[in-house]
Amino acid sequence: MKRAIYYLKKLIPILSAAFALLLQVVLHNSEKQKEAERPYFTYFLILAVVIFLMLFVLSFRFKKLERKLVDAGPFYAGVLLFFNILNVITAKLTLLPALFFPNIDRVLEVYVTDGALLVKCVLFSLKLLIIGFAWGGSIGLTTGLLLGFNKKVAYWLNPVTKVLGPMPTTAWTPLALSVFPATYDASVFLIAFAVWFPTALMTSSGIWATNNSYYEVSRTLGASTLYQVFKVGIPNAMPSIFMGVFYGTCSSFITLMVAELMGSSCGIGWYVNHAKQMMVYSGVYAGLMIIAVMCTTILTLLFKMRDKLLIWQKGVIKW
Amino acid sequence: MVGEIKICDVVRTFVNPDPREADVVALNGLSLDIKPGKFVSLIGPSGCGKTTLLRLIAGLDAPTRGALLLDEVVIDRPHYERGFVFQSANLFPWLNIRENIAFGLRARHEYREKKETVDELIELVGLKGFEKSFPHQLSGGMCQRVSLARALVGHPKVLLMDEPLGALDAFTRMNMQDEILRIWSEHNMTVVMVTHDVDEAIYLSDQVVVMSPRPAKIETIIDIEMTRPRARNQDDFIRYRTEILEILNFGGEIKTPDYYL
Repeated sequence: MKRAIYYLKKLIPILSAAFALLLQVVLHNSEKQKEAERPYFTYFLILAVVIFLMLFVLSFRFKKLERKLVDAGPFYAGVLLFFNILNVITAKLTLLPALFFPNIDRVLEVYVTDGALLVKCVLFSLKLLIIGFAWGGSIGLTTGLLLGFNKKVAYWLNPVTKVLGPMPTTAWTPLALSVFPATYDASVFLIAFAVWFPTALMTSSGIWATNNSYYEVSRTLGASTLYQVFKVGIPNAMPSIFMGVFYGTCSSFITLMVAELMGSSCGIGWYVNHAKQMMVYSGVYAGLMIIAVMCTTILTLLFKMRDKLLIWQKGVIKW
Repeated sequence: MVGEIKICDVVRTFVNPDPREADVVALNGLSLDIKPGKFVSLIGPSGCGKTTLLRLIAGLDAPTRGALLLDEVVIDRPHYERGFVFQSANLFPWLNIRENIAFGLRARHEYREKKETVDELIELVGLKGFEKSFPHQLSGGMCQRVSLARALVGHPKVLLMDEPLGALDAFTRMNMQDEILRIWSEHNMTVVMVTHDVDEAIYLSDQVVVMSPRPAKIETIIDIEMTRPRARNQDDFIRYRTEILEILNFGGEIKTPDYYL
């Protein structure tokens, strides 16, 4: 019995994909939906069957893969079932307004017909994000360190940070657009601003929170002031700095989307809005999927980096 | 022999943040000579200024009046020739055990020449195999050993310990007492230890300095003339204990406290 369940867990994604394929082929598409050039969802499902079949076969050779497949199999089956249901609702029965809920064939079609533009948009957005992040992160870190270690700087700068920081970044949009010569620079500024505040705040508070006895220990061991800054204050504040960078990244995503909605002519945020204006809702869904993948990939990378950097810390946020 | 500490008429007052209240006098004209290579315990009621005195010797705090000298040199700042072990291990959580012990050498840019001392110390405190572990993975007793090794890395003339075993359970504590004695006998240095535990003081020390409540002055200095290893149930041991407890007012007659709990 146990064994049967074990095999079922490995097999169930294949079954789920095959079931979806069956419905997709047997049921006729509703006439109310615009037909895609080719049945891309069918291709997708065939691909899914092939991949999971291959994984199933390979799992007999590789123990690690087998454990992963047993663990994740039901989940993937669930995902495929979700697409299956969605496909029946939209393509086969058209239970929802066809304009706003295009069938999956047409969403997938966007990746084929608009692929080159999408790649260009993603690269554009990533470049904007990275440049803005680099500016905001480095200025934020510097501000935070100055606030944390220098009392005079803290006296003058802390109130300024407290007033400017909590402002929603997007409130600066009209001003940024008129002050900066190009929309691109305005976007970089807005993203940098979004990253700057949380980074500065969490860096300084991490340093302020350093247990004084760590400094005392290092003084009895002959550490200079500069050594204490770099080898006690900063490492101690690292978890907090990471939290700041994490919050900054999240708010930079929001700002990126807003920045691209205003006057930009490229970028993934722009693409979604553009598709909406053209009434191509399949493009909206395709764009949203890409944004989801992009953001989650960036955060995953960030957390991978934290695991490397903060190996000494027991997991505070699970990702 | 080096490691002679002279404490000359030291006063330490703490300014009360409330100007209407009187300042707190922690030490009022305290003098004490500690001979090189001796193991000395400071014992007394809590809040009597033992820790203040130890921090002054470490140079973590400065006297309001008077002076402290180590081998005829005025103590005015912390220095690694005076190692300090805190009550809680205070290990740097972001460094592994080896790096915690090596911290002093790295801070003084001596790591390259003296790498082996780190390994020797890891061996000395019995933590071989734990070099790569992080503090949160270790027990309290192990952490305190690391903290001891970290203070010893510069071969200090003086080792100052502020209730180093206070947070440990009774068994770990007794083991650590023997280890401290072993390390002291191997490392030619003066040890000054603050403790609340009369037995611990007698078991370890050459001299027990009994202090009075605030403002602290020295009540008596008792030389413990027993050969080591000492047994805690020896007649002499019990005699010393009775003597110290009597000085601390815990012997026989019960004094009515002037406060209610």
